[in-house]
Amino acid sequence: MKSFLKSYKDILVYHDYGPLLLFWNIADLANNRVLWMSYGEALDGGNEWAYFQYCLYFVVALGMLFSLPNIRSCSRFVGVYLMLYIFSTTKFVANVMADPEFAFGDVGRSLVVTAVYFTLWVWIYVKMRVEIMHKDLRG
Amino acid sequence: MDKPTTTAAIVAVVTGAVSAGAFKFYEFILKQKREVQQEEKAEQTLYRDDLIKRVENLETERDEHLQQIMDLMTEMAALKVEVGYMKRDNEVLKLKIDSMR
Repeated sequence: MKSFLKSYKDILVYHDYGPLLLFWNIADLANNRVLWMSYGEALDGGNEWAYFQYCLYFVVALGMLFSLPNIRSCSRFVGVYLMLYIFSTTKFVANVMADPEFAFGDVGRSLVVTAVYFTLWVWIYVKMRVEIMHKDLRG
Repeated sequence: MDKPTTTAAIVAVVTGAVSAGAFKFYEFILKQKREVQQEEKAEQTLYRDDLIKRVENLETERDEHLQQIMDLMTEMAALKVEVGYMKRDNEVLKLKIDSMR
């Protein structure tokens, strides 16, 4: 059992994030609401700020995709993406706390899914930053 | 900006600043570790270089001593031959003295 768990730890520590980031990034872009919803529709629904937020996500995700070969630039985009993630999640939680009717569906499930995605992005970001640090130290 | 947006913006900025600080600290620790490793390596290299120098000196001394031994052996061989001749001359002289008596 111990070695089984250790193999998971080894996957997290030693395996590379590159292919995961590429596929996740493409999926994230394809899943972005900007591609599937017009600004007019968002305006009609009173979600123009959410639309701008998705626009920002879209731009950052595009930046990530195109800067993937350059780890330094890509890590900056991942950092901005994480900040956006924290911002939108905190805003969601604050809105739910202020008005419980704000959220549609199960808030707990949404937060658990968000937490898993957040862990994934943090893992990618930490791996990138550690790699950059080691590169800098090696000179 | 409404209250949730302000709260979210503050949380995001603070989290970003804290994580940037944490990474800087981790970088500092990594640098310190690397410096200690390099110092240890430099010490080891110094010790190794000293050993190499000492071995070189000892080898030079050994070569010199070997040459001295060779020279001494040559001289000794020459002296042996000379002593042999002198012994023979001595015997001849002894015989000459005996015949004169």
